[in-house]
Amino acid sequence: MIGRLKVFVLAALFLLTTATGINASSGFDDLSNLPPGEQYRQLSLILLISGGADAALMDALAPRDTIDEGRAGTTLSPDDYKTPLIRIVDQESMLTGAAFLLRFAQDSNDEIQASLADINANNPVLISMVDMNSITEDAIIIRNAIADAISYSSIIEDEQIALHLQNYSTQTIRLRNIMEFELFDEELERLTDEAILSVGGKLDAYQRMFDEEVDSKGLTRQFDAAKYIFNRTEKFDEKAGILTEQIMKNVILSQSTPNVP
Amino acid sequence: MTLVDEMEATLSINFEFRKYSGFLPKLITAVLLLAGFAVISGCAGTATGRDTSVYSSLKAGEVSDQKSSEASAMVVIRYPAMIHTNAENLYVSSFAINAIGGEVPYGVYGNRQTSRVAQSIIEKSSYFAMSLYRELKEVLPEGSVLLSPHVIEWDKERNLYSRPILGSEQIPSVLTIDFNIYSFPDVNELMDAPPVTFGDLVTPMIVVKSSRWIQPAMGGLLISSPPLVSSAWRQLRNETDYTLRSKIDDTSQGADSSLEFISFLRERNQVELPLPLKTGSDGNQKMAAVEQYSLEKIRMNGELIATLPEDFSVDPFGQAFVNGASTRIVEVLNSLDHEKATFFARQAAIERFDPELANVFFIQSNDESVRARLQLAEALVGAEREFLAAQSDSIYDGTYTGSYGSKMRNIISAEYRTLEERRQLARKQNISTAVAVIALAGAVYGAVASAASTAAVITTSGALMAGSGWALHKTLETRTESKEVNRYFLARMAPAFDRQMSVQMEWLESKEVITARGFAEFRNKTLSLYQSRVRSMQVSVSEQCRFKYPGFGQGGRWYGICEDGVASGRGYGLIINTRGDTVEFIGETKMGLPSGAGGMIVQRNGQVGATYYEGGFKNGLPDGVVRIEEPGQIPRTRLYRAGADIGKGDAARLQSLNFALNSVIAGSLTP
Repeated sequence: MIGRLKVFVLAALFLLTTATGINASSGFDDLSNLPPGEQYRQLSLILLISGGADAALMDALAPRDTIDEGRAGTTLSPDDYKTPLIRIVDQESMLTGAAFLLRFAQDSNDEIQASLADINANNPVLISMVDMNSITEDAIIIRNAIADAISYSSIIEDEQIALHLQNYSTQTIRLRNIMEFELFDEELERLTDEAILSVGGKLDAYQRMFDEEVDSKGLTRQFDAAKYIFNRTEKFDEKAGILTEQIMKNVILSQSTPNVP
Repeated sequence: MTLVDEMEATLSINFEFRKYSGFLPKLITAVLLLAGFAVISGCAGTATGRDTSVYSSLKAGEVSDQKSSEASAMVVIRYPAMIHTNAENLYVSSFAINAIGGEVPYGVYGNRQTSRVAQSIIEKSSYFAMSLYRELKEVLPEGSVLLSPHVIEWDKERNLYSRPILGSEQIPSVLTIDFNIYSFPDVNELMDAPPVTFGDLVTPMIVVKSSRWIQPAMGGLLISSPPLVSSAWRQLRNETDYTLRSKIDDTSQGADSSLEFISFLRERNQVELPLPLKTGSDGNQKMAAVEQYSLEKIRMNGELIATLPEDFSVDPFGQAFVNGASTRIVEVLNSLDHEKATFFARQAAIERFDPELANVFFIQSNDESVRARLQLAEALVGAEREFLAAQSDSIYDGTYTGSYGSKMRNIISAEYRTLEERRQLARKQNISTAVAVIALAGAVYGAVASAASTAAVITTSGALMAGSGWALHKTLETRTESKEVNRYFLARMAPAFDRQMSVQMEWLESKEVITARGFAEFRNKTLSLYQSRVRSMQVSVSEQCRFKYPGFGQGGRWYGICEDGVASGRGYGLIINTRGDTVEFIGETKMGLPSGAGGMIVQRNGQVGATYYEGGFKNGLPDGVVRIEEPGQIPRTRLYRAGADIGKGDAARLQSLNFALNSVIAGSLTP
């Protein structure tokens, strides 16, 4: 756990220091300058952040025209939401940035998906090494930050918005649960494979039963004896004739009455 | 007729003969002529069978791609594999008393041959079950077919019974198939008409069951060999009653789920029930009835049988029966709703290690906390299924391709040669030969043991010709108590698994790596993992909540959403009245009573079959469009008002029950 936390902190520090987030004004253009792994991470992060954010919630954060007008001034990248400072001192910018981020994810969903597919196709080995859990952990922190910012703002007074926010928060929990399930499933699979491996080829219960419990040599001898009986056919006709005669005599005797004078 | 009655009847016949002695010579002549004719007429066709099974005409189809839980298997094959020494005598006498295909003379009961035939049923069932397993495994998804070998036992309370050796039956499964072969106990009749399994002849018996919510009118009984159908129904009813009472009383002892063949043998003088039966070829397939698989003595390909010891790449039993039977099984699987078929079994599987989740299961909640926990639990059961599938593979290898299979093939082949010789002799249609055929064929079973005895090759374990089951326990008895295994944790968590482990310990103790221990460790580790990962749920159900049904009193139990101590919302409820009638309901309730969409099984005590309602309910009674299923009838859609049928219902407006837990479908982190 501590190890995982260390990795996460290091990753977060790395992300903060590199500060290569999506600038709202540049979108895909800026992203294309980043290394493929980082592009993949950023785009995945945007998709994970935007899940569960419905149109009403986005409109409440900042109407579409406001976002378009203020597009040039919005400079937050997804990673910025992980910094405690911004969460404390600049709630307004954060909400505006969040509105843009969510809107961007919604409007560009197809392009983002296509970009991810392209990056994956061109760099399969690299992408296979991307730690999705780490990205998900970041996404969860960011989603919580956005949700908290909304809940502290005045828009939450609208009951409908509160419901939309609840839905967004539930999606965050779901994301966490899925991540935890994948870790659980990985471990479960390892245990299962290990257990199957430990019995595979060794169970062979009946084999052992014969070899050690039932005494297969003795059984073979019995079987040979049985085969002798099965194949003993040389004098079968003769014996059958005698037996039949005896049977018929017995039948007649048993069914008849002595002729007593 | 009792034995005394039979003896008296025999004596009276003898008396009659003496009294009318003048008539006797003519009568004897007539009797002998008739007997001779009977024997001769039997000669040409002695020990024959059908060349193909009724199932062989079925065309194999694809398995439908139904979405189902990863925890569930599709088929569990149950079969007799072993017998405990304590049960041997009762098993043999029960086998003779409940003979299928004719009466067995009392004198035959104690014969050594009868005992051999009874034993051969266990051994050959084990062997031939492997063919069915292999075939189904080939056509069904990986890891979805499990084997469940049973050991036959006896005790004072339960009488003759069987119990599973592995944990396969604890895994939810769409279908359960009971398989065994059959041979008439009286070997003197071997060459005649009764069902026989000897050499190239084989008489398979099957019972196919699903959940009682699949064809509820017949309690989930789908296919059965006719001789087993009445006892299968009785066992099913007992099992259901036991399960329901356990749920009401909060007891958790397992119900008896012996093999249907063993449950049939256990019965004495039970009446044959008027259960509705249908044939597989009927156009009336929709009728709520048990499809009968008629008892058929199938004759396998002799040429293949003769070469079996050298080449078993082609399975003659596969050609003769299994291919067709598995096609029928696949048809049945395709026709069923797998979610519905495994719903209650999944709940029971989860109950073993997470009772809290098991109670919430019935609500079918979409809450994220429930979904997440359910996903973990189902993955756990799924892992057990995978493990048991690997065990089944090993059993198959050991039974079919190992020494056991090799011995069985030698025996079957030798039996076939013997039978062929006798057939040739019989074809001469010579009366003396024909009578001898009967006599000597009957001696086959007895001769083996006596020959072995003469040759002084009987082993200390008492192994007989292929006496796996018989012999095993002689050696095991001394070992059972000699080993102490630390399994207390399992004993608490899963008594049945503990039993399984002890049996397997008997089999394989003193090995470095053994299945049972491996399984126990596996289960320990996976449970620990589960416990370390589960989070609390935001949904809970009341421990004691009442379910009501008009006229049934207050004794009902509800597992679901509850308000003021009574059912109010979605869940599962059951109630039993003083007469022993039961009502089970799953769906929506208000004020303790079924109200809204749901499904209800009403079983009157002593009644053959149940009545099932699915659709709308109000104040506990069917109301609105309802689908009704009754024994022997085609299910129909009717319109109900306050429990009264007022006319034809519009099927399009029927509120069908949905057992799918959509929320359980795994998510993915991949964007």
